[in-house]
Amino acid sequence: MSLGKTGIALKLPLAIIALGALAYILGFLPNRWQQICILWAIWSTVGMSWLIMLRAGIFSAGQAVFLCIGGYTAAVLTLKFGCSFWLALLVAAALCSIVALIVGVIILRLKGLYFLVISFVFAEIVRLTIAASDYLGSSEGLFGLPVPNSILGINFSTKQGWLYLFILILSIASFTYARMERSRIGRIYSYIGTSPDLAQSFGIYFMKYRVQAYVISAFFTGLTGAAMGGYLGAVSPDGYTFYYSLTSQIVAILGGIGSIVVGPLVGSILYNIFDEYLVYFAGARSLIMGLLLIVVIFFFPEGLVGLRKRFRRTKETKHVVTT
Amino acid sequence: MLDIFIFWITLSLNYVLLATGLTLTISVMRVVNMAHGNFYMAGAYAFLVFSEKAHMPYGIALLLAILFVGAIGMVVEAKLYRRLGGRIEPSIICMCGVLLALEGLATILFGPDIRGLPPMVAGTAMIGKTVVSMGRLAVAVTALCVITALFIFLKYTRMGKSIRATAQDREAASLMGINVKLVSSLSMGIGTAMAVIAGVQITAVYSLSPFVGITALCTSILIITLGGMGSIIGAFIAAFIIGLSDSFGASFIGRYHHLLSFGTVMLILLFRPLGLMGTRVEAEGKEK
Repeated sequence: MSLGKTGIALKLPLAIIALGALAYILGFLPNRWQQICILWAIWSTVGMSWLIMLRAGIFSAGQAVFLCIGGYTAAVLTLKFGCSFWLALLVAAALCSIVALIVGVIILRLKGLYFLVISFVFAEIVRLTIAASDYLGSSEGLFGLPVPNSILGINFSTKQGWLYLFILILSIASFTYARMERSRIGRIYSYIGTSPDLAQSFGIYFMKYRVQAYVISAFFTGLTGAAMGGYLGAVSPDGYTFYYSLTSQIVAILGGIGSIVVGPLVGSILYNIFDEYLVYFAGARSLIMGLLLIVVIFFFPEGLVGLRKRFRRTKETKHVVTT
Repeated sequence: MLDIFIFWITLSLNYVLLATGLTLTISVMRVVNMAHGNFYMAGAYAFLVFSEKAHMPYGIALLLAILFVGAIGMVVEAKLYRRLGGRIEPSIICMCGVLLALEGLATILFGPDIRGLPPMVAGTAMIGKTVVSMGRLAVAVTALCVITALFIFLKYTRMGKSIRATAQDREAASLMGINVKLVSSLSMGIGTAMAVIAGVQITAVYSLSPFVGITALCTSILIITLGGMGSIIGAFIAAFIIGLSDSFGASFIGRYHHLLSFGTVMLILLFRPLGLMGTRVEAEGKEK
């Protein structure tokens, strides 16, 4: 896993303007494509959050747990306490960070496979416990979440408003991750990810950075989860299965894990277009996603982004050969 | 009370099968087989096809299901896993792909509905004043026989010794003339076969749908984490502890019993980060 050299952080003002324009243009798309764009923004954010943990050597199989906690927190706050959606959004993200901090201090002591399996089990147990709780709507979940108040004249009873919100979350997340990737923290992450023992011998207390990566990842995943609950108008335990954890990996791997921001952004486009057309064939969707994952791992281990690089490399070598 | 006790024993013995299968593949392959739960599900469906569609007797249908799904497991090991060269991340993702593909295939072929499996033996028996279903007793006995056979196989036969040697040190084993590739395929096949037996027996008690694989994977992971990865004795002890929470816990605490088993595992991991029987050497070998 090498450091990404995407340069997004340097071109930030340009990127913000471009994203704003993009969101504005996307707002005129037909409903179905707006839906795809919303899901694209959601899964890009979650995929990036998964990837930043992988960069720090944390292979998680339970990203869905923070979507779940975030979604349920926002749902309970708005539905049961009549709290404003915007406050609930922030509280949900904060709560996810706190949960990640507490749980992370315990489970991040485990390395490699142990962490992988425990993160998976943690996500399943949280889901099953929520499904058992009557206060949280047992296995049917909570539904009929109120539509958030309009803010800055943006109306949230249409898809357009939500599109702006998710693009905003995506921009904040990708800005943060791009900055992290290019700064000292990002280098430390990739250092402790590739050789934790060596990093420790150089005086890097890697537990601190592992927990940090976990908490930041949980914050953005929780934020997305809370907003997603509001967008769908309902949360249910069946909505946060292992399939969601897998999706966060799929978008990152399809796009390529070489760069934290670009990979998930690209992978998420492909994933969501696939998903939109396969959504009515539940079995076929799983089957095709599974086969796609295997094909990508074997033939394009660097993902779609790596494909472009590979193409360029072969061109260069050809050039060398002819001259 | 006695019926819960018998349920505990039945369930735990099958959990032992499930977890031993997973721990065997982990100790030889050094990667968690994420598709283990879905092999369990696939086995139950294969059994359903052989027994209900082809009207075969229970034993033959079970045997065919084991051979069929075991062969799938061995093909996955030989054609997919082995070519990834033991690197953890790609192998895990590849196994997740297998998991999704199996789940999708089962949904396409059999639909997402919940089904029941026929019991091994019909009828009931009386123990004291409690009515006990013969099916459950038969399941417990079968599981016990299979576990014993596996223990004898691993302990005394030449192939079993090869498997244990490969689990300890792959390179040293291949230097000693052990066919490591064959051993890997075989242990994956045996692990899958264990999952199939557990699948046919547990889904006969609960229910079968294409999505039960994840729950089974969750249970078996809890067990092997508690018992220590790669340790069969540990899996045996841990299966009975987790079984306790899924039988007595489910009866007395109710729906929150998952929290109980997770809490137990977390508590043990705080004091023994490698599980009850996990050893430092094995864990270090696996982190690479």
